Amino acid sequence: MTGEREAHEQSWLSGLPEEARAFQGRRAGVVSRVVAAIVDALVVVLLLGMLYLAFAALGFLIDPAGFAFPAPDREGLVLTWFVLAVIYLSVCWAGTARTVGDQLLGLRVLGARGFRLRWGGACVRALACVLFPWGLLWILAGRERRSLQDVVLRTVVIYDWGPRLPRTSPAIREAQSAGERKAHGDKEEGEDS
Amino acid sequence: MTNAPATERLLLPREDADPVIADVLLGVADALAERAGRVVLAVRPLGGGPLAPQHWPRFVRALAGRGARRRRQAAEAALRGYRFVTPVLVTDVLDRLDLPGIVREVIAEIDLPEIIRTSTGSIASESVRDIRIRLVAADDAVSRGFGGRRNTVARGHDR
Repeated sequence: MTGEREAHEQSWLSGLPEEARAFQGRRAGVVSRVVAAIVDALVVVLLLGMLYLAFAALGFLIDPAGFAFPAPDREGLVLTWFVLAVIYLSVCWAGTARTVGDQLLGLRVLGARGFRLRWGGACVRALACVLFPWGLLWILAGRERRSLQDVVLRTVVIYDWGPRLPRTSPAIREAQSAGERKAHGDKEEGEDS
Repeated sequence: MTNAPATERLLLPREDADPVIADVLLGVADALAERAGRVVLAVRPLGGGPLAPQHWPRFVRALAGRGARRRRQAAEAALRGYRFVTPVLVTDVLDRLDLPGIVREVIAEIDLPEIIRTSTGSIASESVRDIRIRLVAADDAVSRGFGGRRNTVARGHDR
């Protein structure tokens, strides 16, 4: 089958390792996603620290004589962390469809049709994930490896070790490789924009 | 040492190996060299005194000057010869070498997919790959643990 050979060549050219081809595009399980979430939480803590240092530096530039390190209260810190986390997740998901944690574990967050989330969808999903992280455990209960947020917002998280976001959705690629070029393929093509 | 090449066996004999005829000649040369060394050591103090060049007779000094000129000429000729021969030799060697063949062989040996993989940067190093695979295995194990056979091959989209 030429389709299969093409797919093989594409994965070879993208540098996808042999062992990753078996589960490329499959839905990611709970362990990978929890670890990715922990990594992302740590990344946001790092961002928070950098923000704090930036504020301190700004304070020093404005008033070097009376400089003292700012002492934010706990509620303020937690609130800032939440806001930072939502911004970080939305930007990552709408941008490259993966956060730093996802990148580390080779995951990608896609919409129901297999395309990258749009800004609105990414923001809502980020808010839902930050406010209710326990939704991840729903992966264990559901049948299709979806967190509660995934079920509500119709998103999926897949294993994707490829370095770049594919132009077409997995559905279209599958349909093409199977030679099923039906009418609904054209309909999905329109979703890309 | 039994499977060492012949030249190595000849040049680096074992301690208990039988001597060869050449060893006799080497022994004679060694003994003579030792004697000559002793003579040189005995004569050397004379070099600074009565045998120093400023005490030489006129005709000896003329001979020495002639010899020195001849030596310089010979050295210059040797140097010219070296400078002429070396490029010719190197060119000949390079002509005989199959450079394109060697390059092709080296390129064939290089693991191009691996280089693409590492140079794209976002596909990670060996250890990260290992962690990912372990976690995928853990995902599958947990899926099996919770409620038997799940739909683990679900693709990344809704049909």
